[in-house]
Amino acid sequence: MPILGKTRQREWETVWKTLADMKSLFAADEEELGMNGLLENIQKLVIDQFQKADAGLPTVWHNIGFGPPLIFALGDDVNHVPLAEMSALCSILGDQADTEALIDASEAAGYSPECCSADKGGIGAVVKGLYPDPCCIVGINTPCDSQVAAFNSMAELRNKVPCFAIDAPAYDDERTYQYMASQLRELIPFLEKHTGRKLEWEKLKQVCETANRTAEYLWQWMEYRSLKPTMQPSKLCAFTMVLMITLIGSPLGEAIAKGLAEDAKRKVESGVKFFDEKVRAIWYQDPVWWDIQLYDWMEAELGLTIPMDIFGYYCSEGWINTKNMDTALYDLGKLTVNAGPMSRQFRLNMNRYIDDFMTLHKRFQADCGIMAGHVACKHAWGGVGLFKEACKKAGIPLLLFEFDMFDSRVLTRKELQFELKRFVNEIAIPAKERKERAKS
Amino acid sequence: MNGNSEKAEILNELSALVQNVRPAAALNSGKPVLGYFCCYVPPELLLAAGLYPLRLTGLGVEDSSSGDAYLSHLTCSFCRHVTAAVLDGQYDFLAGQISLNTCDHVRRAHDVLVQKSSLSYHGFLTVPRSLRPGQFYWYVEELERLKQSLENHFSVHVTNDALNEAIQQMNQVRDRIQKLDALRRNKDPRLKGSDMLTVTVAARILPAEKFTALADRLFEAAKDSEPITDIRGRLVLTGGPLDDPRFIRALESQGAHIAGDLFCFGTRGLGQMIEPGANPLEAIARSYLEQIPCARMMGEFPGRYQALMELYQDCHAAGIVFQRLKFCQVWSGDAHNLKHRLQEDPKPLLVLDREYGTVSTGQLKTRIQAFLEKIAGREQV
Repeated sequence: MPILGKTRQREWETVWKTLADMKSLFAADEEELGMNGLLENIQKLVIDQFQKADAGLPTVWHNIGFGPPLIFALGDDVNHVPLAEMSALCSILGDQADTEALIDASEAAGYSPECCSADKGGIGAVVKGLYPDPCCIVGINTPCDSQVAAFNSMAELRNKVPCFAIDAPAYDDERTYQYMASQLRELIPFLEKHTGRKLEWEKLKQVCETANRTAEYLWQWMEYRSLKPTMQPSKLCAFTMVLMITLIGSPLGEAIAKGLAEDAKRKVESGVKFFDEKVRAIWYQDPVWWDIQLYDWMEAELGLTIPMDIFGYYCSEGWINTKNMDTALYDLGKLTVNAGPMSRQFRLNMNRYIDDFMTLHKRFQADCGIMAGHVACKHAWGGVGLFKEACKKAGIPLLLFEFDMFDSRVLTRKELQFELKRFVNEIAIPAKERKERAKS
Repeated sequence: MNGNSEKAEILNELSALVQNVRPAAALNSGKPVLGYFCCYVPPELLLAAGLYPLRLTGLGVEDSSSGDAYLSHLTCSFCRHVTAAVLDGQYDFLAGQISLNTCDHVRRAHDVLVQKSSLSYHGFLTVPRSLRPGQFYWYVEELERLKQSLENHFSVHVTNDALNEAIQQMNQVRDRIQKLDALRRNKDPRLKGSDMLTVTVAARILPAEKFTALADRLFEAAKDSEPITDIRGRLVLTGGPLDDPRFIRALESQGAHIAGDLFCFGTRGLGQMIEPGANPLEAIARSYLEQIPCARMMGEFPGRYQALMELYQDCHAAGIVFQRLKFCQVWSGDAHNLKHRLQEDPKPLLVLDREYGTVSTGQLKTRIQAFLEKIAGREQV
């Protein structure tokens, strides 16, 4: 299926076709504002990327810890590609077999099986030439070492292309924010030089204001999702991550956030239940991107809902003061290290990770936790002992399993369903009932 | 006593020292012993504070289960072994430890040590991941903060004179390392790669004076010893942290000569002299931050590759062995990059994954045998 009238690589055409099919499927359901908003704006993103690539406009590659506001502020004629884009698009909207083929391609090129599959798929996409060539590459060392490895490998695979590495310290203090701001200030002339575009304050201000409106929608959305019972499908939780990596500060990102918030509001106000909630869990760690329908099964079969997950949570540090360039860069630096999912939780010691879980557990009125242990996540697995102890101390039932968020070959749907079913029926629901009996 | 037997005796002495996480020199030093992870922690700072710097290893630790319980089996086995050694009391003589943001694994090991060990001092450094000028000043500030933290905790005062003196002590160590390294790089080498790793690990465990005395004796004995024979291939060994000479011995058992190394615990980080002066902390910071970069650094593969190629030429090597610990992501990225770069500039490359604390001798021997057969006759003149 051609995109913008041209034949493209098979993987892109598959994504494009599925996107169109899903859009028409969900369009029939006027209630699905959240999903429709997502599909609509992801399609616009893909169109935008191809239009820019076809026009030969400069493309900036970046890894997932770096959000694109400064790239947007260069003007509307600069393209950007997050490395993991094809991993996500193929898994969520295309053919899961394509994501796994990209993962295999990166491993065949010598990339380690132990790195994050988001990046492995991205490196596979680079090896297969699925992204337009970059004019420069920007990377950051957060959320994890896999990002460092991915940046270094992107840089090697395009070793004539200039690179800029942002260093995010492992602290949460004024010095860290100033340091981040100073690096973003350094990044601006680098981006200007290699894209040939000028970053104007007025444009950056506009981008930041858009990001702020997006944040407001996300905060409203979280409020609705915190109510009991959860009225909006669990599967929508994690899409905030897609928004954060690819679209924060753009009208498309704002539209997605608005769609999610309005959808949640309408569902809460209508009071129409689409599933019978028996138990609520904070899904801590990575979503099952390779089978997003699994969340529907969890709701329908187990009565298990996910009011919030680590990817969906958008903290108050996401606000940007647009008084002037200095305040904006300061807050963008703060947002980068403290609002980005995983970057926020893993950059410091495990206390932040555990505290955020406890905050989410309380605020979203959860009954239990599910740590979906993405095998490549060395932060989460390295901190698992402390996390388990904290949950035990707080009396929170916790399910823990190994899987891969983009590779269904590590833990299959059947195995995952078995784990979830056993946990909900034998641990989470009985624990909830015991708690309720004790209260009464 | 001839050179061969004296060399063997000194190497045995060093070997016994490095196979033990409780070196007698540290236990008997009368100084607070501070363990540290990673070659971006300058021992000069600890020496100047009157402390005994001890690079943490898990050598001789057979059971990592208490580390595994907290860090999981998906974390690097080096960190699990060190954590287990601390939690199980094998490091009970430590006054504290210093970690840094080397990698995700060390970060999480630090969390466990802070929360679960009985150590009374925990230092932490955020070392930049890139090398622009602003990053250098951040690192200087980090060292200054660590200095203040050590001063407060141990009630000491670190002066510039003490720092300069520590620089000179460590320069003596570096000088001996370079001299000994020349003996294994030679066309007719007098030291093996496993000998050099024993030496470089000892350099990070022993007091500088004791080390230099032993190194001087070793140099005198080794230079008069018989050259090493039965070499089937001269290789350079690179990759992630490696502190276990048994791994290299397994390679050597099949005729490999590790003529040069570029990895943590090896000669990397011990090659660059530091100039004492009016601002010793800055001099230390520059030397450590700008050492041949670890794969943790971003955008620095070209510099590391260049250093590797210079080493390759200098050692007249015929092949490269790259090793890394399973689950180490930064070094696994480097394996990919090395393979990619060597497509343009072909050189034989063997990539080996390993687990800490054990050497899969049979498998390793098979791999190295096949590699040596492949490169037979390719040795550079």
